[in-house]
Amino acid sequence: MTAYGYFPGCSLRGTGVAYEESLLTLFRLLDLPLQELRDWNCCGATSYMAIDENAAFLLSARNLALAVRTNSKDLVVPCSGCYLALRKTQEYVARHCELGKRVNDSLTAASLPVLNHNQVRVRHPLDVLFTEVGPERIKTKVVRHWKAGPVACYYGCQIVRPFSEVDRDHNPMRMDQLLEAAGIPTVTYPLKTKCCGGSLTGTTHSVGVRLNYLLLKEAARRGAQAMVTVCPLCQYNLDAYQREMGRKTSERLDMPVFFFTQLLGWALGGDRESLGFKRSISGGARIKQWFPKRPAQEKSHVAE
Amino acid sequence: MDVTPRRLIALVREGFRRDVLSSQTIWLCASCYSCAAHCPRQIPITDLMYSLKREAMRDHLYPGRFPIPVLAREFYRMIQNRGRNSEFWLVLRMVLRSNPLSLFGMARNGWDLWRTGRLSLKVERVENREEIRAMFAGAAR
Repeated sequence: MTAYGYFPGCSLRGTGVAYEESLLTLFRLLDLPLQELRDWNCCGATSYMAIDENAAFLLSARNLALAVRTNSKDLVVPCSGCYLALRKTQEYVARHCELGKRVNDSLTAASLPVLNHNQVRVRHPLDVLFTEVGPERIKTKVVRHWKAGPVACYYGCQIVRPFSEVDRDHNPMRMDQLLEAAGIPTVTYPLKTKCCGGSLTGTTHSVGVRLNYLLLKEAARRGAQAMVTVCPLCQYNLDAYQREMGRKTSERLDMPVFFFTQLLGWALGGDRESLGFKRSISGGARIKQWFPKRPAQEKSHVAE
Repeated sequence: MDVTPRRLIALVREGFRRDVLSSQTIWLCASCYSCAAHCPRQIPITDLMYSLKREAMRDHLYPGRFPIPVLAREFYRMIQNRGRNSEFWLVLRMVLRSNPLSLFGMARNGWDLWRTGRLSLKVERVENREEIRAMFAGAAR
């Protein structure tokens, strides 16, 4: 089987390091080889578009061209921001001839291959896991039995919006279905595609924190004991400011916030250390209880 | 949000250029595409917000010391030079150039990230920066 191209993006080398750890572990467990795109650059995120449209498209175009050069048919992109930037570039280059020509001329000037429509398939790991592995096969591979309560699946914004092929934009369910297949119950969570505010927690802090407070509060109200995300920025925003929210509202929030790859990886027998659980900021007590360190304790957690 | 999105669009249509471009509203758009996905007429509202941001940047009409445009500018410079984003250094630059005093309030968050191994001080770089330069130069021609 040929390897999937893999575009980690900047966050997975910083605040989202647990996402990369658990993704690599999970894909290894499922025999899905990943080959990192050599010398990739930043996707431009949302900020680049606010300064220079052409350059923003070019940044993504270079990454796509690198994938063309290495004959990667599929490029796995775990970060929602990167996913959207790459997909949007593909769509706009194909849809708007003038932009397409400009982008391809610039790529040629840098001796990079030009982009033909959808030569490279940009894919979010949720899409790969759902369509190429699927809930049925996940079910057969489960080796650990989940004993904790239900979780709330939070999809966030950018992977289910205009340029996405990950899931439908109203009430996406693929993450719920995969986790249920792995024996992890999920709650109905109507805010699943409401935006976390992205970089707003860093810029207009109170606005960003409030958005995340609403998301956490609703998950708790629905009976979820943890939240599960597919994006490094969503995970960070929900995880990092719970103490501050507690101070402001005098409510105690201590909700673990996971990447879906962490929980799937755990259910499929991945090593605790290689799934990045120690990188969580909130919900430490539950995490310790659910994913105990010592193997002796772990045994009681594993299905017979 | 100083102007609601509907009002903002109305102001654009009536030509209140300065009011639109100096508003905080356009910068508070986090590009979640919710409006674009829901719009029955498929109006690309997110792209519209981006174009207003660019115009505000070009004409220096964005609200001064407002952290969001500062972040966008610092991010742009960082990627222009190195090709990759180093989260820690980007946030530091943004804070120093918008509201340095807020650094104190961020100490606890920084510690949380440090103790969980999520705060990298490494300066990330693309090796072949020449290629990126050539590509941007090709675009400028």
